[in-house]
Amino acid sequence: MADSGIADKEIIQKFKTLNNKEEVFSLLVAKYQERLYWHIRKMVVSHDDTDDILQNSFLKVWKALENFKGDSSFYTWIYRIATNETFTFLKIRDRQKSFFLNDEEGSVINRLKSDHSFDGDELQLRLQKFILLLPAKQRLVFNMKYFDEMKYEEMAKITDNSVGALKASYHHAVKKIRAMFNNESV
Amino acid sequence: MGKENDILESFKELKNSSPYRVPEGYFDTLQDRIEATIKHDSLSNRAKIFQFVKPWMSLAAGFLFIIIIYVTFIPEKTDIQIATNSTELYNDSFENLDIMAAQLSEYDLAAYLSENDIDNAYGEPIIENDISDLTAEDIEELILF
Repeated sequence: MADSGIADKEIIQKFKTLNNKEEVFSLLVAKYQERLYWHIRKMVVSHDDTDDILQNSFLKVWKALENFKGDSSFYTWIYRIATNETFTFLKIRDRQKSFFLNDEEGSVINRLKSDHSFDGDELQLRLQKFILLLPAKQRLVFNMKYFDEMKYEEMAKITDNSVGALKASYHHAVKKIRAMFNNESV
Repeated sequence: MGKENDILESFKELKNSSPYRVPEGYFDTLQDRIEATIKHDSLSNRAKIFQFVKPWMSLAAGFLFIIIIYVTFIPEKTDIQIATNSTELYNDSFENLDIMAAQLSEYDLAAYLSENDIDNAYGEPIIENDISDLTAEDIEELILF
């Protein structure tokens, strides 16, 4: 997904010199809203849940903006906030789900099919199912590497993991998807 | 890695197309809704602070009310009460004087009168000869008044 609008460096410059929080925040929202939306949506599937998490993420960005030291890019910083919010949401949802669910695969397919905003064909459904069956952290790494084409160094700053750990995680994610694909093809 | 790429190749055509739809105009209005969320959060934080402070304010108001009632309706001490207290003090002093006077003899009283040039009721000086005619009450009266 291409970057839109003003560069991060310019935003940081405005932040440091003008000290105008509202203006800087508006620029950040305009620049990152769509990217963050898809980053979250691929993890949680539902549009409504994504909307909630996205708004909470930007609320946290607003509150933390004054304390932003500029030692990382806004991009990394905002992604990190959104990722943490997403994991918090998933933890709560999985805790609630674990009381009722035995058939995880069935539940994932049902979730995809029942989402009115899911518009994919059979192949899309299969891919999304495989991805959603991955553990949350592995799913995140796969999405960032495969769909967002992020460098491992960027991912390391967002997830606070080492490059080596991320490479291993991506490798295992692809291996699992292959295994599920082969099982279904048999 | 080669085998992994085969899998990913299968999905290659799907990579750049999202199977998820976004409601129309969602991103156009997102910024306004985020600003509304921020305002609401700020107001609810103020409401939380008020809820915390409210019981203490009620307590303070209650104390203030009690103080106002006390100041308004509890009567102050009247002049008679003050006078009565003074009279008691006054009477107490005289009681002490009575006790002291009772310890003095007539000769002591007479000596006092002549030494201090105390006049009689008509304003005339009392001479020694007159002193012996004076009763104890007369002498007391002359000394005290």
